[in-house]
Formats: sequence, structure tokens, C-alpha cells
Amino acid sequence: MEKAQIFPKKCPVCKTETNFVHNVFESKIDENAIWYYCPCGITFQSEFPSHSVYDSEYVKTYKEMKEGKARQEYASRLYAPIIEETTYGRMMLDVGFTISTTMDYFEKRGWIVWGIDCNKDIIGKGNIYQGDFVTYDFQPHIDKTTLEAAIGKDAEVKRTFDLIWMSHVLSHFNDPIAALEKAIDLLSYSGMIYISVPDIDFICKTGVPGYPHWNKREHYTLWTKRALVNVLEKLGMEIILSRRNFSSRFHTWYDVQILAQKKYF
Amino acid sequence: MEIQLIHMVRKVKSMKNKTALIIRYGAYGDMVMITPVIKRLKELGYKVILNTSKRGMEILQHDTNIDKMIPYNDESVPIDKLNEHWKKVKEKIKPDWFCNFTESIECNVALHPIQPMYIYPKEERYERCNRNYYDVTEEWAGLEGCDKIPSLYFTKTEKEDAKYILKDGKINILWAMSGSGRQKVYPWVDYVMGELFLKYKEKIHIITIGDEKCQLLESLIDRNITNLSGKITMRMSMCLTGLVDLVISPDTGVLHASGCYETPKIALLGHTTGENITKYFKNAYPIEANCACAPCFRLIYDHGIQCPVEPVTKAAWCMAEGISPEIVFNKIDEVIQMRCLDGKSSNIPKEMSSV
Repeated sequence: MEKAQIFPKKCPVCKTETNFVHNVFESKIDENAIWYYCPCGITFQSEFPSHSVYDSEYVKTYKEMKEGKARQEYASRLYAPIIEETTYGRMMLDVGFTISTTMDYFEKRGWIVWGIDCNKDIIGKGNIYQGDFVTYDFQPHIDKTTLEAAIGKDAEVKRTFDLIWMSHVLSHFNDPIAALEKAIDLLSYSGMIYISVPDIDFICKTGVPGYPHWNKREHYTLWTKRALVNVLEKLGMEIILSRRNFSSRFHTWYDVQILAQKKYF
Repeated sequence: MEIQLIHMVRKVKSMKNKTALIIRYGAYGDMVMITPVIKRLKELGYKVILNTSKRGMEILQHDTNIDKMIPYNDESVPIDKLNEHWKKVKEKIKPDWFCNFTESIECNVALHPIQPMYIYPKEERYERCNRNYYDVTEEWAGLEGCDKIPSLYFTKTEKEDAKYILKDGKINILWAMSGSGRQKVYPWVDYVMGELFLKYKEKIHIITIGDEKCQLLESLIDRNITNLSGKITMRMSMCLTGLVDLVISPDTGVLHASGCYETPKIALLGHTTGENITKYFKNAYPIEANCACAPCFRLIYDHGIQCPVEPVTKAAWCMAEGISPEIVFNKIDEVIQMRCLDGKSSNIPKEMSSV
């Protein structure tokens, strides 16, 4: 490995400089990565991930996962009743869905489902967007004159979602705060957000080499439960449920799962 | 045969002076739905007494099967005192047969937000709620042999007044703009009407009806469109369903009223199904919303909160996205071709129950 000078870096979440550094070797890809640890609870890479892996092979991996459908569906089966109890509307957006298992499940329960993924090889039917969630414009584009004639001058036309599902996507964003802000902006007044992210606190259990979520080509940030709760609360969300998961009944584990709702009264 | 006849006469005699008390407060459609039960009770020889709200009084007046109506003022009894009130009414009448239809449809096969099943997955709601309302009403009453289509009674004057709205020599289409809630608004009425006029030009006459709020939806003005929302009574709207050549309606009292007649009817169904409403109606063409949330079988009080909403029209998703204007236009076109252009139906009053 080439020797490189390591400088302190600003945490992408709390913006404080840190110089706690892990040098992690990923044997699967035979590459090293520099990960910074910030006391706010975030661990982040020294550079943005290449995101070069999102292609048909990536989709195939998910499709061919052992007990894939059942495991990918498990979180939705578990949390859908809580979500349905907590919010009224039934419009759902799955961010970074890769395959449509979660959307299919919610659709069956009576939800109108939408999905967005940056993978150029995503497939699916219905309301599927291909693009970057943070910059994608979800709003309907209607000629202003037509709109004013139809529904009056001050009428607001805004597409909102009652549930935004972000299963293992937050850690992929180069600007996770922008992604969260975008999600919250897209939520309806009582909308909910489901987030699951790799939980870096599990290295206490697995040790650094055994932690399964070092993934320099995909992950920019790794979270702790407290960091995610803290950020969501700062952004005006109420935490309905937060838990650390080590069960492989879910499609991924050693992660944190959070259900949060917009504060509406 | 004779013995059977004697037996029947004895039975009818024994029923004489027996009283049946029905309690039903609710929307217009709910009132229409109980008419088969009322009719059946009369057939069985009961003196039928109905305790009902203003809507019921309006819709069921002149019903020859009802001997007496006891009015109920919606505001006179607080909801938590209703049980007591019903008990008093029952004690006063001392009926031989009694049925309270409160929650026979609502909370039974149309789910109220206070019910846990309201948020159950669609499949489970479908299993419980996809039942015909007339079957459910009969079952609730515990009677057998009820008709599965409703019946309404109008006076000659009412019919004459209603006929006055029709246009001679044209295909008269009655279009109900909305029902009891905004979730029943079909937002693409203008588009479909526009297409219809392009195709049929002077051949059709459209009468739009609804409450006063529906006037907002009556944006098309033409000499062959008669916009009557908020201008005529519900009775007259219902009377028209037996006189026009085609009725188009979401799940409303008007749709149920059209079930009394053979008039072709196109039902625009969002939260309910054809099984629920039009299963037994003659010449019914239900269009069920094709989207994930429909049919939800839910009672919607504020669709802006309870439903997914289409952001531009602000209409409920099932009506805006689940029923495309093309489908509605094609169905109307098909029905006009099949039923109205046969040279005999246009403007010829059909058989109507009259007083």
C-alpha cells in the first residue's frame, strides 16, 4: 500500500473536523479504504464511493439472494401495520429499491407505489423513476396558465408521499443530509419515513475485520442509532421506533432500523 | 292447492295489525337500500313504521309500503344518547318485528376509521367487504325473499316536472357529478363530455346533477347541457333516473335510485365494487377503479387525509388515476350504441312505480 498523508476531514453530517481514522482492507475487492470516525456517531469514507457497481449484475445479486423475496419483504411485513396505523394516506416511494419486492408488497396491501433508483439497469412497471433521488424533480409539470385556469391562482400542486422507504440507501448518498431533507420535504403532513442503515456500533461485536458493511464502492457514511435519531429529530421528525437489528431474517443485518414521522400536531 | 291458499290467507290474517318498526338514519343511498325490506314486510302483511331522518323522509315519501314515518331530527339526539332514543321509540311502538339498520352497511361492509379492519391489508378487507349491499341488508333484516333491487315511488306531478327537463328527440344522459363526499368526484367529466359532444353533436343532451358544491364542477356550458346541481331536489334527480336514457354516476344515492329502473347505468366506482352496488341492477355497467388502493371499502370523511390524492385535480386517486377518461368515454359510447340508438329508447318514459 502506498503511504499517503492523512488530513483531518469534515464530517458530512455534523460538519466538525475529525482525524480518527480506520484503514480498512476489503479482501473481496482487494482494496483499501480510509474511514473517518466522527464523535457524532458517523463513520465516513475519505472519498466518495465510485457508485460504479449499480448495474444488471447488482440487480441480479439481489434477485438471487437466498430466501431473497421473503427476507426483502420481511421489514415491510413487520412495519406496514405500524405505518398504516400511524399515517392515513397510502402513497409510497421506495428510494433505491433495486428490485420491486417492497413496492409489490405495499401495492398488494393497497398502497400506490413509486420507486426511484439510480441504477441504469433497473426494471419494473408503473411509477418507476430512474435518477438521483436528491436532484430528481418529482413534481408534476403542468403549464402554469392551464393550471391557473383549472384550479385557480394560488392552488399548490405538490406531489407528496405518505411513506418514504429508504432501506440501505442513506449510506450511499454523497450528501446524506440533503437526501434526508429531500425525503422530508416530499412527505405529506403526517408522512412517515423508514430508514435502515448499516450500524457501525456493531463493530464492538464483530470487530473491524468482521464487520460486513465496509463497502468502499457503495457506502460513503456508516451510522449509529444515536446519530440517525439525532439528525432526524433535528430535521423535525418524531421517532416512532428505532432498533438495532442483528437478525438475518431481514435481507441485511447489523443495521439500525428507524420509523419516523413528521410532527403534525 | 286450496289448502295452501287457505293456509296463506290464515297466515296473512294472523299478520294483520302486526307492526314492523324500521330505524334507518343515513345518506340517500342507505335509504334506497332498505326499500326491498320495506316492500317485503308489506308483502308479509305488516304495518310498516319507519323512523328516519330528513333524507329518509324525503326519499321514501309516497312509498305505498310505508304506513307511517316517524321523523328523526339529526341534531335532536346526541350520538351517545342514540341507544336510549331507539329504546324509547321501540317501547312506544311495541313492534312485532323490529330492525335497526344503523351500521348495517357502514361499519359492516364499509369500514369506519374506528374499526381495526379499516387499516387491514386490502386482501383482508376485500374478503370481508366485497358483498352486495342488498344481500347484506336482507341478511341484517333477517328476512328472506326480499327483492334485490330497490323501488321508489313518485307522483304524477313529480314525473311530469322531471320530464320537463328532458329534451325531445335526443339521448338524455343524467350525470351525477358527485356523491356524499369529495372522494366520489370524477375529475375528468369535462374531457369525457367534450369527446361525447364531438362524436354525437346534437344527438345528446346531458343533465348534470349534484349538490350546490357540484356547481364548481359544471364548467361546460352548452345548449345541450343542462346544469342542475343544487337546483333540483334529490327526489327529482332520482325521478330522472327512470326517465333518461342513460345514467352516469359514482356510488351515490342517484346510482341506487337508478337501480329501480331498467335505464342503462354506468357506475364509476372508486372505493366500492360492482358486487357491492350494481350486481342485481338491470343494464348496469360498472367501471371499477383500477389502482392499488381501490377498492378500499372505507368510509371516507376527508379524502385529503384518508386517500392518496392526485396532486393536480386534488381528486381521490381511485377516481383520478383508477378510472381513465378513455375507459369512461368508450363505455358510454358502447352503451349509447347498444341501448340508446335503437330508435325506441330516447325520451320514451319507462315503466315507473307511481302513486
